[in-house]
Amino acid sequence: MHRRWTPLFVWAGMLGTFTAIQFVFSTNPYYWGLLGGAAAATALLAGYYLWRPPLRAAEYVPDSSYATVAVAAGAAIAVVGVPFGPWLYLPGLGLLVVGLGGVVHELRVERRAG
Amino acid sequence: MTTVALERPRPAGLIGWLASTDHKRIGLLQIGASIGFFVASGIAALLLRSELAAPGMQVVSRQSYNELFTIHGSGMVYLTVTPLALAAGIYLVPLQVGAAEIAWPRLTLLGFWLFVAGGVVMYLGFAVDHGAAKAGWFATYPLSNAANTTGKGEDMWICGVFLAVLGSTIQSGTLLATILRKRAPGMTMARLSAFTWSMLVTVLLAITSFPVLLGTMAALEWDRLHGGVFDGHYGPVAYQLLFWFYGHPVVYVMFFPFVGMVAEAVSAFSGRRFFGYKGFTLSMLLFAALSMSVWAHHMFATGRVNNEYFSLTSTMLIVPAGLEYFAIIGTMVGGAIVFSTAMLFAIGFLLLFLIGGLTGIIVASPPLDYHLTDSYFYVAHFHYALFGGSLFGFFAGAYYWFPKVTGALLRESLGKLHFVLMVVGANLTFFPMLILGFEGMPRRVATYPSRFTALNALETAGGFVIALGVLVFLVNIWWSLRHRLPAGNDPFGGPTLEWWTTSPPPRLNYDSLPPIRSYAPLFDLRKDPP
Amino acid sequence: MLLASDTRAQFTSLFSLYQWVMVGTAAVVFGTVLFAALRYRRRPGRRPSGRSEATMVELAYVLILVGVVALLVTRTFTTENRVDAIASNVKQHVEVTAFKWGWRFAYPGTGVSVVGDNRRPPSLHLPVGEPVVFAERSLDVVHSFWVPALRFKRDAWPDDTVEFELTVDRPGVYAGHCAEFCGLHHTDMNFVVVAETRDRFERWLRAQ
Repeated sequence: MHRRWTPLFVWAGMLGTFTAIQFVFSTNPYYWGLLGGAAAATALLAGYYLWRPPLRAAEYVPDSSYATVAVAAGAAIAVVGVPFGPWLYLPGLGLLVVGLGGVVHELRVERRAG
Repeated sequence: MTTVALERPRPAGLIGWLASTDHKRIGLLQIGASIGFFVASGIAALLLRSELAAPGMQVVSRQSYNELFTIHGSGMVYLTVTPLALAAGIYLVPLQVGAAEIAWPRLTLLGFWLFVAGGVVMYLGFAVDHGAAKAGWFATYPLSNAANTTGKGEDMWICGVFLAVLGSTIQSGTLLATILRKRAPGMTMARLSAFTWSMLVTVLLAITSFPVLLGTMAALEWDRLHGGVFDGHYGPVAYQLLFWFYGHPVVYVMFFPFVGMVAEAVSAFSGRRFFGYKGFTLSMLLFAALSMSVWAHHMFATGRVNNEYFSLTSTMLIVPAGLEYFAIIGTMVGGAIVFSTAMLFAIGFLLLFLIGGLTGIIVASPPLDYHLTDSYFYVAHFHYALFGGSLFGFFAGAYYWFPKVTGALLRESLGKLHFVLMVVGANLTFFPMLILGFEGMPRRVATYPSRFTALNALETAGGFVIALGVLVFLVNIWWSLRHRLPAGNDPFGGPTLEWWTTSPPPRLNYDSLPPIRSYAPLFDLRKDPP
Repeated sequence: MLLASDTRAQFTSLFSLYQWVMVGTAAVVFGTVLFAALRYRRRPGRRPSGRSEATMVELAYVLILVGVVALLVTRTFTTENRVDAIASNVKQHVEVTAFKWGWRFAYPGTGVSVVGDNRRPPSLHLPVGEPVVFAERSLDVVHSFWVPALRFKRDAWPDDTVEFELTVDRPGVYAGHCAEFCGLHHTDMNFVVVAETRDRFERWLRAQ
C-alpha cells in the first residue's frame, strides 16, 4: 500500500461489500443508506486524494491564532443559544463572524509573507 | 520536502499556550483537559459506587443518581477517551510521519476549544433548574424528548455533545490530511508506524460516522423545541439506528489508538521490529470496516431490527481482533523483554481487553444478548474493553512517550505501584459485574435486592482502589517533573522516527531526518548505519 | 429436543457452547502471553529474533478463526430462529403494557387484567409448561420486559406492538424488571412472575 489513497479505496471497498451483504438479510433503507453512504463518502475522499495536486514548494505555519479561539467561542455560544433564545445565539453568531474575519485576515497575512 | 518557517515569534506565557497552533501544545492541552474530565467523570462514578455499596438509597436521590450515571458515561465517551485518543494522535502523528507541523493547525486548535466548550456546557447543566442531563449517555427517544425529560439540562447536554463531537470530527480531518499529505520523503504508507496506522483507521471511522451524530443531535434538539421529528411511527427506532451508527464506531475510535500504543510499546520493550505488520495493517482496515457494519447489535432486544446481519458482522470481529493479538504476541515471542511499567500495562491490556472482547462475542449472539443486554454483564463487557483496554493502553503509551514529550523519565517504582492498583482495582470492580448481570441485576439502577449486596460492596471497594491508582499516576507525573531524571532523545531504544529528535522536540519537530527504509527506521539505523 | 420457546433451555444450551469457546480462547491467550513474557525476557547474551513475518502460520490461524466464526454464527442463527418464532396455534395469550413506572398484564378473552407500579409491583400469573404468546407495548417511553429466570427480555415500544413466545419450564416465583432506562423510577419498575399448573392458573383467573 504505497499510494496514499490505496487504504481509502480498500476501506471503501470493504464498506461497500458489507453494505451489499445486507441485502441478503434486509432491504431496510436505514441500513444501506447509512453504511452505503459511508462507503460512498470514503470513495469520494479517496478520489479527492487521487486528484489533489502535490503540496506547494514552501509553506509557512502560524504560531498562534486568537481568531480561532474567537471562532470556537462564538460557535459554542451560538449552539448553546439555540435552546435559550436569540439573546444568546445572536451574540454568539456575532462573535463567530468576527472570529472568521480574523482567521481570513491571518491567512491573508500568511499568504503575503509566503 | 517542503520548507517550513514560522510566521512570527510565539507569544509567551499562558496566551502562548491557549491560542497556540503548535500541534504539540494543542495535543498536551487536550490530554490535560481529557484527564480533567476523566477525574470529574470518575468522581461521578465514585458517587454512584458509594450509593451502590448497599441496597437502599443512602447517598444521593434517585434523580441525582440518574444525572450522575448520565454524566459519568457521557463524560467518559465524549469528553475523555475520544478526545484523549485524538490528542495522542495530534501530538504523535506529525512526529511519526516526519512532518514539521500538523495539517491545518488552526482547525486543530478550533477542534480543541469546541471540545472544551462542549464539556463545560454539559457540566453547566448541573446549575440549571431540573438539573443536568438524565437520559443516559445515548439519550434514548422518547425518554429524551421535552415531555419526558424536562429542563434545560438535557438541551445543554445535547449542545455539549454536539460541540465536543464537532471538535473531534474536525480534528479527525486534520489528522487524515497530515497522514496523507505531510509524510517525509521515504515515509510511504507501507512504512507508517503501528500507532499512525491505528490513527488512520480511527480518523476514517470518525469522519464517516461522527457527522451522523451531529445531525441526530440537531434533530433531537429540534424535536425537543418543536416536536415532529422522532415522534411518529418508527421514530424511536430511527433515532436508535441513527445514534448507534455513530455509537458503535465511537467505541472503536476510543480503542484503536490505544492498540497502536500497545503495539509500539511492545515492540520497543521487546527489542524487536513489530511482527506481522502486513497482517496487522490489513486487519486494522477490516476491523474498522466491520465496526461500521455492526451498529444495530445494540438493538437486538428491540425486536425491530434484522438481528441476523448484525450478529454475523459482529461475530466476524473475531478475525481481525485475533490477527492483532497474533501480531502483538508475535512481537513478544523471540524478543528480549524488559518489564518496564509501559510493558506491564501493555501485557495488562492484552489480558484485560481480551475479557472485554470475549464477552463482546457472547453478546454478539442475539439469543444470549436477550438475557445479558441492559444488565450488569453488559456493563462489565464495555468496562473491560474501555478500562482494561483503552485506559491500560493509554497508560502504556504514557509511560513510553512521557520522556519524549517532557524530557524527563516517569518513576518506575510509582509506575509499578500504579499498575498493581489498576489491575487489582479493575478486576475487583468489573469482574463481579459479570456474575451480577447473569444473575439478573439490570443496569442503571440505584438499588437492588439484598442478595446482590456482597458483590456490589466488592465493586465499590474496587472503584476506590482504581481512584487510588489514578492518584498515584498523577503524583508520579508531578514528582517526575519536579525532580527530573533527564531522558535524552531515545531512553528506550524506540523503533520509530520520533526517537530521533530531541526530548521534547523543537518547534518544527526535526532539524534533520534519518533515512526511512521501513516501518522501524531507528531499528534499521542502529542495526545498519548508513 | 428443546422446546423452541423454552427460552431458558435454549439460552443454557447455546451459552454452554460460547462459554467453552471463550474460556478456551482465554486459556490459550493467557497462556501464550504469560509464556512469552517469561520465556523471552531479556537475559545477558539473548539477541532478539530478526524475523518479522510468519505468513503460513498466520494464514492457517485465520482459517481457524473463520471456522470459529462459522460455528458460532450457525449455532446462533438456529437458536435464534427457535427463540424468535411464534407458533400459530398457541392458545394462551397475554397483553403486556408498560408505562412509567409499572406494568399492566391483561388476559384477552377473560376480562382479567392486573396493574401494578413501582410502589406495588404486579404479579404476572402464567401456566407452567405451555407456550404463551405475549403482545407488548408501551404507553410512553421505551421500556423492556425482562425475566432473568427465563433468560429473555424484549423492549416495549410506544409506536408499535411486539410479540414473543415464552414457555416457563417449572413452577415457581420469578423476579421481573424493566430493563430499559425509563426515568426517575426505573430502578423500582419491577414485577413478579408466578408460574403455576394450569389448574391453579385457571382458578386464579376465575377469582379475579
